[in-house]
Amino acid sequence: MKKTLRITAIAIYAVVFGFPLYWVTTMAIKPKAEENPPGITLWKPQDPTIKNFKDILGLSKTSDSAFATAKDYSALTPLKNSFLAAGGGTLLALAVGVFAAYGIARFRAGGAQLPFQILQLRMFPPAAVVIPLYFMFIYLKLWNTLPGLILIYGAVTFPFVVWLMRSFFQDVPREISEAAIVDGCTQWGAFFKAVLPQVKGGLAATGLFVFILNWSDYLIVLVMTQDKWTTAPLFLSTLSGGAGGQEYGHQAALAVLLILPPAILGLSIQKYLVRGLTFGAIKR
Amino acid sequence: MSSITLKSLSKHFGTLRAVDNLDLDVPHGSFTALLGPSGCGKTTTMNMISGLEQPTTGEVYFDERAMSGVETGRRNVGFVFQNYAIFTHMTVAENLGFGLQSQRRRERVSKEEIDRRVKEVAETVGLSSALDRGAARLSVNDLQKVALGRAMIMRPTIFLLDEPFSNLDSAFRAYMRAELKRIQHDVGQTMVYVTHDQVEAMGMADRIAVMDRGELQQYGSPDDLYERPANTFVARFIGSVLNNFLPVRYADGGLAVGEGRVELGDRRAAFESRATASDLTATIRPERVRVVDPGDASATIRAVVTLVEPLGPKDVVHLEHDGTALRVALPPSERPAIGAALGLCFDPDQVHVFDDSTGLAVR
Repeated sequence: MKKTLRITAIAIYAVVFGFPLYWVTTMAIKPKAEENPPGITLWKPQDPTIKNFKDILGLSKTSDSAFATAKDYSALTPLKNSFLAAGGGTLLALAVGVFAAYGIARFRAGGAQLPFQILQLRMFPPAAVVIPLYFMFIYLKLWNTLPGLILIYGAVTFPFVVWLMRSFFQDVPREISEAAIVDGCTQWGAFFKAVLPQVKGGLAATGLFVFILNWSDYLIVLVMTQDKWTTAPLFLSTLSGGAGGQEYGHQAALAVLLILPPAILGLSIQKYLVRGLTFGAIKR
Repeated sequence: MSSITLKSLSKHFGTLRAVDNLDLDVPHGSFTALLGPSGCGKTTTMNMISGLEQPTTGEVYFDERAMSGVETGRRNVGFVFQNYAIFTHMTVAENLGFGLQSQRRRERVSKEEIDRRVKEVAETVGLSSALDRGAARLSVNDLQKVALGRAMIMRPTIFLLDEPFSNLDSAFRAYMRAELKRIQHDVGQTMVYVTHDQVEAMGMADRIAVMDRGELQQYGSPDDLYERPANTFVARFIGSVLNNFLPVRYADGGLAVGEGRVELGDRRAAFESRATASDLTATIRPERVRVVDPGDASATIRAVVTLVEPLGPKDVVHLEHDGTALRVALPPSERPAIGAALGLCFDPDQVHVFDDSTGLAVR
């Protein structure tokens, strides 16, 4: 009885989360005519094609639309920008946040209130600050530039890095760094050789979390860039309009591609991730 | 080998005086225990000796050399932490070699030399077969050995051990105590050992410094502390069976204890010269009380048995006298019945008297 209930619950859960994935992957391989046929619901593609992917990856020479060239569908530049901006922002947030978290966790740097002050940076919606930031960035000549985007992604995800890493560092006994210092290490040496390897699971989990946040950003890039210079999520929303209507097939193909990097990253660091996400729950 | 001298050493955290005005001389090659309840400042003292914490005031000397400004890694101390502080991302061999590795450039130790010394130390602490194992999978007992080996491999002149055996099971603890004493005897290093377990301190150390609330209470040999406690704290803290405390009055060269009397003899001068007439408390070790027939004329007081605790080699007999709980140690062959009356005879030489207003011994 209990088992049946559990399986039912898991099945419902799987359907709720699985259906959008099913929808987007099938849509990605439907030809244009099957995308949104009036009056009928197509549960599976009748005539599957990889044309949408080829268009998105810039592999098509010709366009089937009278209003767009093949080049207009290529998401290569936005994808590259997404990688650079999300990856760079994540590295920046980690580089600054990890040291800040260690300082707070080990040396109580900044006093008892500092962690809350840092978290406060995330207590209002990003929309509240994005307009003032727009003017600041224009003044600083960072608006509509890749370094500007990296900087802002690093800044908005930095509080998460501090909070997550702080709790991981707090789980490492102070004596670990002291033992390294007794053995002749400097504070820096003790941090890199003895403390950081102890939290690599937490570091992997934090990095992945922050990367996903940056990777899926829409609002900031919407305000902070213009023209063709953009990242993939914003480009996805531009795959529409004109006489062509919504380009569901192309949008779905790009969405599938956008799922891949976080998924691959997650799988490749899985062995650290499990430990990172359960850190503190296990006896060390 | 080095001696350690602490001169008016203090460490204050805000208003908390973790260590207050501590003077201590640890001679060359001695085995000294810092003993006290948790929070008495013994670990803070160790951290100041190692340099992990800077004293608020005062100075630490190794031999004659002041240590302020000498960083921890250059003090040549070996430190064994209470929770071992093993690097779980490394193998046993990497843990043992860590100190030599991190000093390799400075001290010019070759890789072969590191290998050789790792093997040598592993042999000494009994880890030869576990060198390639990941430290994360070691048992608590093996973690302890790694911690000890990691400190030994640096050939420190001073060995600092912070409650190293408190997490071990009792059989292995007894084994490690003996091992440690053997190692200390063989290499003759100066060892400072922090513990809250007075049995451990009494059994291992040449000298014991008893601390409470950041202050040194008494410093001496185990026998000194047991036979001649300087104050009521030491009298209470030292001894495997809780000491007996009795309110007494001084009268005419003797102590009035309940209905009985203990003659002081030559010691009366110390009592007569006391400026104030504050209350007194006498102590006598449970092992040193002579038990006689309640009708015996030599009995100082008579008390009623309330509980018998058999401990194997001896029984601890709990008694009550006029609202005061007392304990005596008796061989199991003389185990009394609960409710029986016993005569307790206090030998004047075994009775220590403390001034209630200061807690200090009256001598």
